[in-house]
Amino acid sequence: MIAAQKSEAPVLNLYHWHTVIVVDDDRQVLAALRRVLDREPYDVVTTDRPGLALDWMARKSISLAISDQLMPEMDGDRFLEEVWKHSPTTGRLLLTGHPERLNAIPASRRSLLKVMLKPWEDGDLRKTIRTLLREREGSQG
Amino acid sequence: MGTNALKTTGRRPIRSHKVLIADDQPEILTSLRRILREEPYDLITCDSASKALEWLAENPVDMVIADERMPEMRGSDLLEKVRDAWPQTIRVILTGYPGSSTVAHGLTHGIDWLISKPWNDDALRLTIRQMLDDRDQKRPAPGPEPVKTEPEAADFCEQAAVPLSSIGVDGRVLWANRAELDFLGYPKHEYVGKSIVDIHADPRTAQELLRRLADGETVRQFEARLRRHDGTFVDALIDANVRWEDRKFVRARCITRDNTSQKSTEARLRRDRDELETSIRERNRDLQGANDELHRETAERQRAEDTQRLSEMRFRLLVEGVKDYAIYMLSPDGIIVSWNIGSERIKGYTAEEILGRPQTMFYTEEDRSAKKPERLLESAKAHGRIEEEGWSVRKDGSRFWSHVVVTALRDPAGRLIGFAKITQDLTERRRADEEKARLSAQMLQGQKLQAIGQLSAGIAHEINNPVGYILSNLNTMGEYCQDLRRLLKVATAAAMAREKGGDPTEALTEYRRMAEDIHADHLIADLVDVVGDCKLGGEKIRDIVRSLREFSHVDEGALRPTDLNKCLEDALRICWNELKYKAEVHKDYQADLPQVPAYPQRLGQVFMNLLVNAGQAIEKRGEVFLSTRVEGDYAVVRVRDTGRGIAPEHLSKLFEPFFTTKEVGTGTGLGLHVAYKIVNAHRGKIEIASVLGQGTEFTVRIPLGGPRVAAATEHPTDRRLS
Repeated sequence: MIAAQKSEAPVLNLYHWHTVIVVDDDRQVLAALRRVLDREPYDVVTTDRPGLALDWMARKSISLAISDQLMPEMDGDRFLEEVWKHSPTTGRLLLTGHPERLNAIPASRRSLLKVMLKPWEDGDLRKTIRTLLREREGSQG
Repeated sequence: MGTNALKTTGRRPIRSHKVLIADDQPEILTSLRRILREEPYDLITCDSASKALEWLAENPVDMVIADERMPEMRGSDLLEKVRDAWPQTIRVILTGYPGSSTVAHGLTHGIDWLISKPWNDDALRLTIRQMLDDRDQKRPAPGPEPVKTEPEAADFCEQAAVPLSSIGVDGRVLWANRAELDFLGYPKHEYVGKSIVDIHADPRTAQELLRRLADGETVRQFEARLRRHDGTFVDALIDANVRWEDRKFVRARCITRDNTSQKSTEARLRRDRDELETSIRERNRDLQGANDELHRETAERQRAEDTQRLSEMRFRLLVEGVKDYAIYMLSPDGIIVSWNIGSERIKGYTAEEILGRPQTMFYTEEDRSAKKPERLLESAKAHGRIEEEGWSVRKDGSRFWSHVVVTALRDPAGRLIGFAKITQDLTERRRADEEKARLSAQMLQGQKLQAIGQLSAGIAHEINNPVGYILSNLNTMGEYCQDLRRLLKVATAAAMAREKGGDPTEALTEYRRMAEDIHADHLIADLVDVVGDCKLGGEKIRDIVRSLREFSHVDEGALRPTDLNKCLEDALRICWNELKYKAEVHKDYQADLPQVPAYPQRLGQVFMNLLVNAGQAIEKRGEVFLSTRVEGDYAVVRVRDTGRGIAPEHLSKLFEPFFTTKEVGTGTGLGLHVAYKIVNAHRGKIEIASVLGQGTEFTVRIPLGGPRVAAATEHPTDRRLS
């Protein structure tokens, strides 16, 4: 089974079915991320519009939001701050190729983020996402 | 007595004047003799001052005319001796140098008149006549024979028709004849014993007369106004002398004549004579003036000639002495006819080596076979002057970069008499120019690399994204392949079972289950997308790297046919990361834009700088409009943004180096300066139009014919957005 094949990954409580939303303005990046996450035990929603993502989250419960940093419509850290405002329990992961630019972000906002570098390694990304989802399960009791 | 000047001359034959002329030049003597031939003078001519003095010692003369320049004695010195020995003699100097100080001295020391050479014959005659006449007026004619006091003499005296009287030393009348008493109307007893002071209307004339007589002078034609017995006055002329006995004044003999009628005639006569004198003097003065003028002109001409000779000499020395320029002359057919030291220094030939040889030898073999030297002279002939730069050859065969000016020389009639050629060795300057160009190119390159450096994070990001998804996609493809291999294994097992005649059902069931499990259809379909995405990413990276290479590459300095659309697109790719998050970029390229001769990397640098500026002008979100067009003789690229715009006071400084309004670290202030320089190098134009708060448009015009064809550069002009 899947769990057996990916034995290195943290085991998720399948009674909590998760939905992960991914936001990136580069459609190829988005497609690649979808492929990485498609066969993981959670639903994946992708969009290149942070605004649409926020709309969507107002209606659905999202376990984790993954975002690119530089986007025309909205910077990733700002988007994730919005996510935190609307849904404090949603996990937040920032994917960026320029971590040095994050120095410009106020420390208070930066503390809200888990940051991963681009280019990513698929296995690392999957593991990180599982960890974040499990942390969330834990925090929810 | 006559009534006019002519009649006064009538007196002259009575007495012949003696005139002595001293001059060492026989022709002058002859000439004067000829001029004075008609005059009633005895002429004595001497060819030296000593001979003149010899003659004078024996024979007094009325006038001495002496040439100033004589070998043994100057005329003025001779005349001074004459004055000392014979003061009555009229002294005239003859000189060609009326202004000389000797003559000036002479005129104040004993010279009566000056005749300047060359003289006017009439003026000379008149002047001499005038002077002799003047002197005659002063000198008395010889007096009458003394009257003997014999009876018949006494009767003669008593009865003579001329008033006669004798006066004592005390001035009292001692005796008077009948005529005297009649003339003044006195009875004899009243007249004799009367003091002449009472008889003269003015006592001072009486006193003067007495003084002169007491001094032993023979007074002649002494003018006096006398008081008649009836109280009327009469003008009289008195001639008087004294009889001395043992040096004792015995009595003065006086002859008195009525001068009344004569007086008025004389007054007129004198006036006439004065007028004549004045006119002669004026004429003399005019002649003198003309003479002076002539001398001055002559002297001036001499001076001018000297000055010209001097200035020609100075000019020649100047030309010959110039070391930094080769200055030489060519005959109309291009033969070298003059050669200065600068020519020798620059070209290496001495004057002896080069004079008479053709100027073509200064040209390179290529220029000579192209007939360039001949064409140059033809051109100078046609246009008067021609200027050019090129390689020249020295004597030792080495080449130097020269600046040459050829001027056609023509005489006043317009005939070509040759060419003046001025050559300057500009090798050093050319080297300096090249060095400057090199530094300038370095600056351009430096700014470019710096700009790319600043863009590098963005460029890295642009590369990072494709790298990220390509790697991830490859990973996914690996997973897909694993799944598909497993599926293929089951499919193979099923096929083998059937081949061996066994039951494939189980294997087929397994196959179907697995295919469903791995979403085999989706995998196959997605594989196409995965490969497409990877290819896309790879191409993106390739383009960026290509653009980057295009940019960082140092321009080889040659013009190349350049596609401005591609150039702009390359720049956009480099700057894309700076724009894509802020601006919607609209492209409006003219598809058939002709290629223009240009330096593509440099133009790319211009567009890059403009695009970066456009991106920085936009604070949050905006639009960027790019367009390319052919307008007139130019290919025109416009970069417009909807950013904050430029303050009017900054517009004029925009292209100055190091001018920046950006925060420290954001811009170097070189971007637009470099853009300006590059566009200038293309003989193009760069224009700004900006409205604060609305945006900025940069227009770059590149001549379609390239920099060589384009007109001279113009400074950027400001134009408002409409």
